[in-house]
Amino acid sequence: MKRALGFTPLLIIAALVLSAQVVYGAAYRGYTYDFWQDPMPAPQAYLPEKVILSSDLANGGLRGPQDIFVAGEEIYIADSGNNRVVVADHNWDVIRVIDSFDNNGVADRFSNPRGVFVSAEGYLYVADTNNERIVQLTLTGDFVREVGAPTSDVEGIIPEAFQYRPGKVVVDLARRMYVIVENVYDGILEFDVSGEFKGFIGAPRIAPNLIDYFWRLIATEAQKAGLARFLPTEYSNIALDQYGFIYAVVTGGDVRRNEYVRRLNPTGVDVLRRRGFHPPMGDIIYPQSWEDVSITGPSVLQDVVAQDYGVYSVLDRRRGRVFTYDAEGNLLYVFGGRGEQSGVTQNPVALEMMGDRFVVLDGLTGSITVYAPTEYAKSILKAIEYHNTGEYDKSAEMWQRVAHLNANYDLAYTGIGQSLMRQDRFREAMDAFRLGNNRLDYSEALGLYRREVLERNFGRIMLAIFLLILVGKLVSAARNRRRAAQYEAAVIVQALSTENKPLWQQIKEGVRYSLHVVFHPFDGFWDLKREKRGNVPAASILLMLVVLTYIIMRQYTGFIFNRRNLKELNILIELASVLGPFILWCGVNWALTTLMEGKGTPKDVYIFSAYALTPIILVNLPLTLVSNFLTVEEGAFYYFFLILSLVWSGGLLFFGTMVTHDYGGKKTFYTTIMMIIGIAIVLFLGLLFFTLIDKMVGFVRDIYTEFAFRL
Amino acid sequence: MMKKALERIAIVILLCIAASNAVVSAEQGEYEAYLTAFSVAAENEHLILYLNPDNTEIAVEDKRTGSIWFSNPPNRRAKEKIARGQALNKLSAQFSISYYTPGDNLRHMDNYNDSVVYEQYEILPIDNGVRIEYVVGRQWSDQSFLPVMIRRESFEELILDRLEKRSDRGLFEDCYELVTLVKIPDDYERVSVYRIDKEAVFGDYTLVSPGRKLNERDKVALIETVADQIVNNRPDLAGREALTFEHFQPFVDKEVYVLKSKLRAWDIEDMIELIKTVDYTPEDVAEDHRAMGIAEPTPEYRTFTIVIEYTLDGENLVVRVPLDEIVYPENVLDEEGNRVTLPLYTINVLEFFGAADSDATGYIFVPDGSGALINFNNGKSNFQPYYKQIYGQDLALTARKDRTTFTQQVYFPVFGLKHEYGSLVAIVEDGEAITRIRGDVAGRTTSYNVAYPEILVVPMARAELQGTVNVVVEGQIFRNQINVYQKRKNSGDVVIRYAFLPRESADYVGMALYYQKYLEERGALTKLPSQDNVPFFLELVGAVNVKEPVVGVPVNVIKRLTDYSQAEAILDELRSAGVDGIKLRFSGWLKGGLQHVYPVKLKPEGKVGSREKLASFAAYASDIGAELFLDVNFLNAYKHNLWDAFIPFRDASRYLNRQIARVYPYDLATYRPIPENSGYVVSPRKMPGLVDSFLTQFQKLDVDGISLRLMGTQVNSDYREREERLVDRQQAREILRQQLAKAVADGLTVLVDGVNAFALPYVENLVNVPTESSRFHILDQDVPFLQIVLHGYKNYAGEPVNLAQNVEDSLLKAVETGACPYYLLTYEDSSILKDSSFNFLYSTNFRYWLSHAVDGYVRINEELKDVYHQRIVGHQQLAESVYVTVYENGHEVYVNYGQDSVEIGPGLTVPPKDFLVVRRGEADGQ
Repeated sequence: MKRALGFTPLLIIAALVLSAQVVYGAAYRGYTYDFWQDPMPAPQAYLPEKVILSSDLANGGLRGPQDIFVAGEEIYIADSGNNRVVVADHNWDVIRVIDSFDNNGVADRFSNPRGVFVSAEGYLYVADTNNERIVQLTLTGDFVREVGAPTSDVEGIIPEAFQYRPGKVVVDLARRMYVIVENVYDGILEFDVSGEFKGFIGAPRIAPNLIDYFWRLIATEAQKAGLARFLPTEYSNIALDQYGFIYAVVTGGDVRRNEYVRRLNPTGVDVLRRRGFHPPMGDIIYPQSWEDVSITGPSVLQDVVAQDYGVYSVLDRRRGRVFTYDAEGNLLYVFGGRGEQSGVTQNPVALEMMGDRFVVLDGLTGSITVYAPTEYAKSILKAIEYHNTGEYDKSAEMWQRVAHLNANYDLAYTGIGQSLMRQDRFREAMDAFRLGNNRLDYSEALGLYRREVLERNFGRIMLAIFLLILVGKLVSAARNRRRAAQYEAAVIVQALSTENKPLWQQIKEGVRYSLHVVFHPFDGFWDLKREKRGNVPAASILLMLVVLTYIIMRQYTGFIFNRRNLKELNILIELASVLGPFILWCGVNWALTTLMEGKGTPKDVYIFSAYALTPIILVNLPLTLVSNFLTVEEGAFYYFFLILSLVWSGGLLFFGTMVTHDYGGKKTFYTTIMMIIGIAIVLFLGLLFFTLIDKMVGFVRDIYTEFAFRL
Repeated sequence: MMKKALERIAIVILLCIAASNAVVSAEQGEYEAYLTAFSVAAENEHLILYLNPDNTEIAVEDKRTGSIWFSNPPNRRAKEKIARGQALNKLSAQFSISYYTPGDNLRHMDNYNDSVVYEQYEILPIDNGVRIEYVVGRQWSDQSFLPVMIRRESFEELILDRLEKRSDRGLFEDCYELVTLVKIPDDYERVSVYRIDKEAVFGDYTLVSPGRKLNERDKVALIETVADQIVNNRPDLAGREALTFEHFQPFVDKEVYVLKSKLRAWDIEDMIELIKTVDYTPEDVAEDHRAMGIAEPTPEYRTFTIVIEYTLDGENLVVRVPLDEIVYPENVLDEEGNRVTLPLYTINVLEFFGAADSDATGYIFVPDGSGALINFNNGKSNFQPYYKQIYGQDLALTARKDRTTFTQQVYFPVFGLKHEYGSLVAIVEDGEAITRIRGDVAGRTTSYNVAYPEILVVPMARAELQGTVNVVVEGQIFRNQINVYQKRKNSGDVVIRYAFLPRESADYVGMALYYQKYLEERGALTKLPSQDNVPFFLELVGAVNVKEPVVGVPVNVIKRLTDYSQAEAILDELRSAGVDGIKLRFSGWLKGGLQHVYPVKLKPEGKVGSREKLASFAAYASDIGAELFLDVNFLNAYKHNLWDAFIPFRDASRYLNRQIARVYPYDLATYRPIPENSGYVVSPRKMPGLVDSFLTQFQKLDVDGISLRLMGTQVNSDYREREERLVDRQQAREILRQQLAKAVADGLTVLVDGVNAFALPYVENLVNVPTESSRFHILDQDVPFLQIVLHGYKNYAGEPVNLAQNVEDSLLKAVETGACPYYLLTYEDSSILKDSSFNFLYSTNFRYWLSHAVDGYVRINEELKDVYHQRIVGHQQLAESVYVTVYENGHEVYVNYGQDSVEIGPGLTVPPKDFLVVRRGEADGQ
């Protein structure tokens, strides 16, 4: 041992005073959301490279720091609790501390400065929050000017009781200054070059939900005052991208989910693209406040930072995570977390880029974490870069690599698919897009592939069609001949009551009769009841076929139109979702019509209702097959038939009610309205009943638990 | 030039050493004065055990070095800056306990404030040591020291005569009234006393005070005093009306001292103080009260009996806490007459043994993950202290409601304190599965840096009630959770072995090597036979079961990832590329795939290949010299269908709240458990039968290697309510140990994940051995403690390179920690698992990783082959991203994680993200 270290003494002496060391892993795991809103495991995109604890920084450390800004070789930290700005270099050695400055001959100090920004031309702007001003300094801390609270000649622009507490500031290339003020909900304050207030831009819109709106409609003035107001939202942070556009984030509240992040052009219009599977809002799924987990609620976006090629990252204060999106709004990767280990933070307040590193500032402990990209993140960024510079082959190569590193990564498959498309390998591209859950590109690939197949096999297809028609003709001719021969016997048989036939034949004919009913509802339903052409087993078979149709649709509808997760397909749920409403309909129908002199028995109601659903089977089964060959543009065709089947069945239910209960058109109409109300009432009662039962079960269980554990 | 610099540095180092020596000896001098209160309790050739009988403090002197280790810091009165009052007194405690009140509140006591102060302990000499029995918690209230009525003889003999000062005797005589009951003298004048029918009660007797002339008022007062004291001290009497002659019988012709009822509070306090000095105990009070027919003083119910034994064993101090001898209040009456139980939750043992004061330099070693150091006085008292259960969480204790962090497990029951003058290493030798390790720096509650074990005596969990909101009724909050306790306390002994390392080997490497020696002496480690090559760990996954809808019905579909012929192909490719010494773990080969069916019967998964195919594959593997380990998971079970062999009701462990214990994967985004993919915790009770049955059938396969997956990672209890079915954690650990022993007895070579220390004697191969700590902020540095202990004795690997946290650095980490490369691969592409619950295998395609694996292995094998069987004797961080590992044969391995190349010596440069091996002899040549 001694010998071993004998020849490197210089380094050993250094080692004695070293505290930093290589960080290998992290206390969080990577993931991305797939199309179905499920988090998918992913390799680590960024790993903590260094953790600088407050005590590691010279000058007594940080107290409640609120902002950090990296300007070239220098890092500016708003050490809010200590009323100063600390400047460090990339090795995290403190170069200087700006805590006082000469304001036109008067010694001046900051008071709780919560925002720092270094402009392109090299001035330091400090949001001196408690002093209600923005201070502009040179980088070495010499006073340049200060900009105080906004004033306006026009009344109403500046809200009443306005307290100016500037929290964050940025200055764009045209030297306009944008300021976020705490507890101000009107948007971002814009000041022009001379420091004159120009107005608010990008006011966040409030999205009241329907239920609140309803209560507000029926509430009295007094009640309205008592109701919680719509929670207004304020911007929590802003950042500039290289084009001078402003990225701004809000901290949740009543803003629409997809407006948590906005990208404002210089006129204040939101131009952010949101074409990913989910809006850029941090976590898509999160535990609700009543759930028994440590952290509940949606992401609280605290900071935002722009990177090249429209890539940007947001910092979620609630879970300590950094989410990165591409220019289209696709989620690229997630890292970070909450806690007391390296790589996770207690109360992250600011996010910055330092080259390709991320820097996260913890406002509670004053520690700073530097995250370095892994091969995985680098590959993703490279792929995006190559795509933007038009080097598509290299981009595809990178995506291929990403897919190898993370087979769960949807975007990689899209990238691969697009490359395959360029090589005219449409069939393979389809598979790739399918893996990447990219329906639009899949549709394009499908369209091209379809054309290719058609072109290649045009002759054969034509021949097949011709043969099919020929065979069809021959068969039908043969059948007609046979029919003619059987006609007489058939007439006799049909005249006889079907009750005398063997059961299976009754059923067979009953089912076959449904084809008649759907096209001739009036006499069809009439015969169903009066002539006993329908029967319960046949109706039940039809009902089961409807269930089966739905299952087949769920599982085999073309990829483009199948937007529900196959993993969640369960026959019992499908069964219940058909049978439940059906039984409800039958029950309510019978109950109401009995009161309204309807002539139908429960059996009649059951039979006609089941027969009325036949169009669902007739239309949807072939439609499911066809949907596999349709592109997005032809979607209208698909949806037309989908709706047709429902309208058709609905109409049949209507006529069925009319015929079976011997009603007139008007009466049927009223009854139908009544039935809709009836169904709503039954549902409400059912819900009430189940809630009660649930409460009771819970109560009994509690008592049992108490007894069991206490005694 | 260089030489000069070297000389200068050598001088500096020598000066440093001399200076530190001076410090130590000065302190040692002070200690000798402190030691005068101690007496020698045991002595052997290495150590002397001292004990201070007045406060049961102990000290151990290491004869080799002369250093003395105190159970309580001798300089605490001077150095303690934070703790005051009770907390300061606690620094004098050898252990502290925590228990739960009936209201589910946790309370703390320690053996100084609650036992030594009341002298409620007994010291018994035993072989090579001493045994101390404590009653913690004040046994007698002050009041119970004062007799209310006492015969004159006892009073004088036991109390008055023993008091030295006249004034003290006077105090007692003033406060007590001498009384006797005699026949009415002729000239007796009757007095009437409120609510006592004197005629009926006394008849022709009356109370007099011998030697005193009483007037009428005195007489009334006398009778009232005696009557009231009788009534107050007999719970069966409601009031004066209830008195009969019988109650005064003991006074007949006997002289009795009766405590006056109206006394000043300070007089009573003084008397209690005095009476404690004369050795008149509440037991004596009880005897005297018995004689007088009044209630004996009742002992406090809040007392705990704890026994602790200190013995010297060779060069170690062994501390034993026999749990079976612990008594805690169970079903006792409280003040209000309710039956209560106060479950003893934990015991912290020797909290301040070797504690370092706020001026000391050194560090605490904790075995978190690979091992970590906490520097003394690192100023991080604003972060959580270190606190971890040995062998990880008990999955059967309670269902975890969410998982917010990822931490490493504590595998080795070892911790230590490194001082300038030497170090203290503690090994939890027995009862480790129910022990937690705590470590903290100065500045939080005391001015000392400490590390100590915490014993879990009665495990506790919380049972949730259905209602999720707390109900408030009349200001009182009814919580929706109640505490549930294990039906009995944990069994067995907890034994902690302390070793004292001299300065030369005091660092973490020295600690690791000491533990290595300890394990080797006990047969847990045997030197690896020398092999030609560094092993290459490879895991192939055969199949997994995926839920897929088939015509709407979700069914378990087996997805094949690697079948036997594909596995052969992979082995072929690896071998032809120069990878030798393959250790192949084949998982997912049992029916059901990776999460296979309950393995009472050995059924291979048909999708991976038939039994014959397996046999020929095994033969092929052994032909090419690859070692095959077939993987089986006994600890967690997955239910595949209603009628499979696993019946959760019967075979699974139970949580303390009586529900069936399950294992969940946790949602990465929301941290919630995912119920759909959950399995069960197999009860340790079921383990022996299960393993027997499986191993019998495994024998027929003619495969020598078995991978017992979680056997080295999880230790789960079964908290069933019925005592005969309850398996506590230490018992569970013992059951697991026996199963491992069985496999070895059957001639199998065992591979496990992780490396719980008890498994060491039975396993030769380990994967997923952590290469870092949990990196809590309180920790200052990671050290490869585990690896230093294991190197040269076991084949081990970290996490699979291709699924590692840090793919780029993972091979470098393997080089630094002396680990083998490990890859987890499949033949099929991972994309087929994309929408399944196995999507955590996101990058396992062997074609993609093949070249990576081959390049990495060939390089490592070439360069590290000749140190593979060597012990690691040194490890150090040289610069921010440069580490050196030194082997027994003098070879040095430098690893540079940084982006820039680093010069480590003349002409020796480690390229960025690379390593360099300096062989002995080469260095001299430079």
